Amino acid sequence: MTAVLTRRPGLAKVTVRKGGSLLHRAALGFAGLVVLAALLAPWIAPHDPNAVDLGAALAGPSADHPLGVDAAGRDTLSRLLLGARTSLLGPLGVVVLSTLLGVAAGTAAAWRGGRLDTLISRSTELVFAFPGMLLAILVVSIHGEGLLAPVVALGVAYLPYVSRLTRTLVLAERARPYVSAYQVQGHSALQICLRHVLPNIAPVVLAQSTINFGYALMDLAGLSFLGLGVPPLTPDWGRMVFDGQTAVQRGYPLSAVLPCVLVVLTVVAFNVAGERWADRVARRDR
Amino acid sequence: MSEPLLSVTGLSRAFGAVRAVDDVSFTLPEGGSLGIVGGSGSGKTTTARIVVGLERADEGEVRLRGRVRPARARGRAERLARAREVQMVFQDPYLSLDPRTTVDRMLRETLRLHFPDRDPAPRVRELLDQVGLGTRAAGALPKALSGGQRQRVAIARALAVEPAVLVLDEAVAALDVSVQAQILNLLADIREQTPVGYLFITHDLGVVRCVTDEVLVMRHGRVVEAGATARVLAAPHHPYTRLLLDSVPRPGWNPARIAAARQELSSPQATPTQEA
Amino acid sequence: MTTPPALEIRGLRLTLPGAARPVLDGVDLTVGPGETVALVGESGSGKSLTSRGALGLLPAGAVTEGAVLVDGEDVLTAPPDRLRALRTGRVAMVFQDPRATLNPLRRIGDFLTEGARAAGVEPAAATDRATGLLRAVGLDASVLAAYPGQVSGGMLQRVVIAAALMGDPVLLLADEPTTALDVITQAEVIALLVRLRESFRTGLLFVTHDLDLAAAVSDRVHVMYAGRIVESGPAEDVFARPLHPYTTALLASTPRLTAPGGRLSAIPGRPPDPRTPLTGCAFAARCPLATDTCRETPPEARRAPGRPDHHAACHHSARLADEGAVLDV
Repeated sequence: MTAVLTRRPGLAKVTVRKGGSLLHRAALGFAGLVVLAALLAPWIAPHDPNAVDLGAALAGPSADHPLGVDAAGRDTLSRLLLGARTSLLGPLGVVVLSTLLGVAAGTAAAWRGGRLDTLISRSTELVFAFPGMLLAILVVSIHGEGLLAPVVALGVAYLPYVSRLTRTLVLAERARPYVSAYQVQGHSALQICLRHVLPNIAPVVLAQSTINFGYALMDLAGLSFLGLGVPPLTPDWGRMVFDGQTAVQRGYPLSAVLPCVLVVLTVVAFNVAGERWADRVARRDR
Repeated sequence: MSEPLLSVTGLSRAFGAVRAVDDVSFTLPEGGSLGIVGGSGSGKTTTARIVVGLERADEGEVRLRGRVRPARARGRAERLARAREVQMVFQDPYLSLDPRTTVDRMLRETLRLHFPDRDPAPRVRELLDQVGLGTRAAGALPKALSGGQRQRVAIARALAVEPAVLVLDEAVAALDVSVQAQILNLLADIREQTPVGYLFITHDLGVVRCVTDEVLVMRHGRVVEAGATARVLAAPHHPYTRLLLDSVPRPGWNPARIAAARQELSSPQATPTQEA
Repeated sequence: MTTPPALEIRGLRLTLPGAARPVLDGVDLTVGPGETVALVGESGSGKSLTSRGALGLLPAGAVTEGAVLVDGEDVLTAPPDRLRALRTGRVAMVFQDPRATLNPLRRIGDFLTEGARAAGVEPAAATDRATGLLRAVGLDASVLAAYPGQVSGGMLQRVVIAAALMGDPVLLLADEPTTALDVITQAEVIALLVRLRESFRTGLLFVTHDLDLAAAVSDRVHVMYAGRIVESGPAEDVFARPLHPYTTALLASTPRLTAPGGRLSAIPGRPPDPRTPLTGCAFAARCPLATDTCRETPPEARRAPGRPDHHAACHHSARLADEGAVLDV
C-alpha cells in the first residue's frame, strides 16, 4: 500500500512505541470510559452543572463535591461529566463531516480523473494551505456563537486529509483486476465504488478518521478556550480551562487542570487507538 | 448468412511512441476458439482488452454478430448488452475476485443485474456445478479457496452473464500444472455444452494446441502468422513462429541456439528496446 | 572427493509452530560444483522453502532437523555473522520476479555494486567487476546508469543474475527464474545460466514447477510433493521412465506440442492440506495405483533396479518400471 496516513509529528512519536499492547488496551479503555461518561452524564452527575453555590466557591474536594468547586461556585465533577458531551460531540461532527465529504471528493477525483481530479486536488490543497484554526475563528466571528459554525469550519479543514488518502487508496484499488472484472460484468461505476471499492478501503480511512478525532477535539477545546464557539454557560472542557484561569491565579488549580488533563488523555487515547488500528490494517493488507 | 460471431478489423492502439497493437484483424466463428500467442510486449493482451472494452482503440472496429461494439457504453441498457456480448477471465485468480465478497454473493450480484426477474438460487447452484465446485465453496471468501478453485469461480462469474464470447487472458498461466489441466478440461467441457466462443490469450503453445481451433501469432503489435492451430504448429511459415516453437523446453533442447536465432531475427528490424 | 559439494542437504525436516505435520520431511539432495540440479514441484510442495533453507532464510518459529551444508559449512547452526558472510559471498539467489528484486528508485549500477561496496571493495573496482559481469550476461555498461523501469523483464533478469555472480558464489539458487518471462526470453536466460555455470563452475539449484524445463536444463531432477522428495534421478530417466505415479501424472497433465490432442489427463483432487497429519503416502488420495498399504505406511525411497542413481518413494514403483511406457505420454 502506497498510501500513508497523515499524522502530526509530535504526537505520533509518543503513541507508536513498541510493546504497546498494554498501552493500547489502556487507551481503548479510557476512550470507552469517556464515551460512557458522556452518555450517562445527566444521570450520574451529582449536581446541576450550572447550579451556583457562591458560598462554596473555590472549595477543595469534599464529600459533597468530590473534585471541588470552581470560582463561580459550580461543581467541577458535574461540569466535567456534562462537558464530555459537548467536548466529544464537536469532534464527532467534525469527523463525520470530513469523512463523508472527503471520501466522496477523493473517490470522485480518483475515479473520474482528468479535470475533475485536478479541480478537487487543487482545491483541497488550497484548504491545506489555510490553517484550520484560523478558518474556524474566521467562520465563528462571522457566524457568531454556537457549536455548529466551528464544527463545519473544522470539518472543511480536515477534509483534505481524508480526501487525499481516499484518492490514493481508490487509485490503487481501481488498478486491481477485480474492479475491471466488475466493469466487464456490466456493473456501473457507482455500484462498484459503493459495494466493493469503499468497503475495501474503509478500514484505512476510518483509522485516519479516528486519529483526526483526537486532533479535532484538541482544536475545538482550543477554540472554546479562546471563548469562541461554545456559549458561555454550556459545560465544556475548553471553556472550563478558560473559566478556571482566575482560580489558578488565586492558587486553586483543580477546576482548570482537570479538564486540561482530560483533553490530553482523550486525545492521546484516540490517537493510540487509531494508530494501532492503522498499523494493523497496514500489516494485514491482504 | 454465416456472419462471424466476432470480427475485428484494422485494430490499432499506440501508447506514446510504442505501437502496442498495429492493424490487427481476425474473425471468430460461432462456437469457435481462437488463440492469440506471442511473447511479452507482442500486444496480445492489449488486443484482448480492446475487444472486452477495458481499453479503447485508436483505429479499427470490433463487431459482434455484425453489430459494432461502441467504445463506451451509454446508459444501463447498453452497458448490460455489452457485458452479455463479451466476458473475460483474468490471469491472476488471486486478484480478480473482490477479497470481501463471498462466491455466492458474487454470483448473485451478477445474476440480479442481468436477470432481475429470475430466482438466482437455482442458477447459482447450476453454475457452481458446471465449473465443478460444491455448494460448500458458495459461502467461502476467495482467500479460503485455492488458485484453481478461484479460477473456477471467475469462470462461473463470466458464464453467469451468458456471454457470446469469453476472453481468457492467460487464464491458466498462474496455476499449477495439475490444476491447469483440470481447468483446461473444464473449458473444453463448457465449450461442448454451451455455444460460447473463446478468445484465448496465452504465451504457452502447448495450451494453444489444447484448446484452440485457430491461432494468431503476434509480434511487436502485428499479426505475423494466422491459420488453423494444427497447421501453424506443425508447419510454421514465419520464422518468429518457428522460433517460438523451438523455444518450448524439451529433452535435447538447445537454448543457446534459440538465443542466437532470436538475435538473427531481430537484427534486420529496428527494434525500440535493445534485446541483446 | 577433495572439494565439498556446493550444497548438501541431509534429512532436512522443517516444522512450523501449530502445523500438524512437517512442511519439509526428510529432504536429501546434493549439488556438486558446476552441476545443475532441478527441484520440481507444485505450489506448497516445499521446493522454495528448501532452496531458501540453503540461505538460512527460514520462516519465523521454524524448527529444523538434519543438516544443510553449503560448501561444507552447516547453515542451520552457523552464527549470524557467518551466515551474513555466506549470503554476501558463496551463495546467491535469483528470484522469480526481477522487478520485485530491484529497488525502482535506484540505478542498476548501484544495485550491482552495493554488496561489494558494503564488503569494502573500492567503488571503481566494484564498477569494473559489474561491467565485466554485465558483459558476461550479454549486456553493455550503459545499463549501469539506467533505472529498472527503463529496461525489459528479460534484461532485468540478466542484471539480477549478474548481481548474483558479484560475490563469486559456489552455489546459485534460482527460484523459478524464468516463470515471469515469455518462452523465447526464457530460453535466452537458461542459455545464459548454462554458459555461466560452465565458465564459473557454480553449482546451480534450479527450482521450478515445469518438469519439461527441469529435464531440459538439469543433470539431475528431484520431484517434490507435500514436503517430501518422491523421486530423484538423472533428468532423462525421470522424464522418460518415471518411477513415481505423481511424476507420471505430472508429465501426462502438461499440455504439449507433441502429445495427442483432446483432453489432458488431469490429476484429480488437490495436494493434501498442510493442517492435517499424513499417514502413509502423501499422494495416495490422488493416486490411481493406491492400495491400503499406501494409505497406511509411508514409502521409503528405493533404488530402481538397474538404475543406481534413480530413486523413488513409492510402494508400486516396480509396477511402474515395468509398465511405465503405458502410463507415460
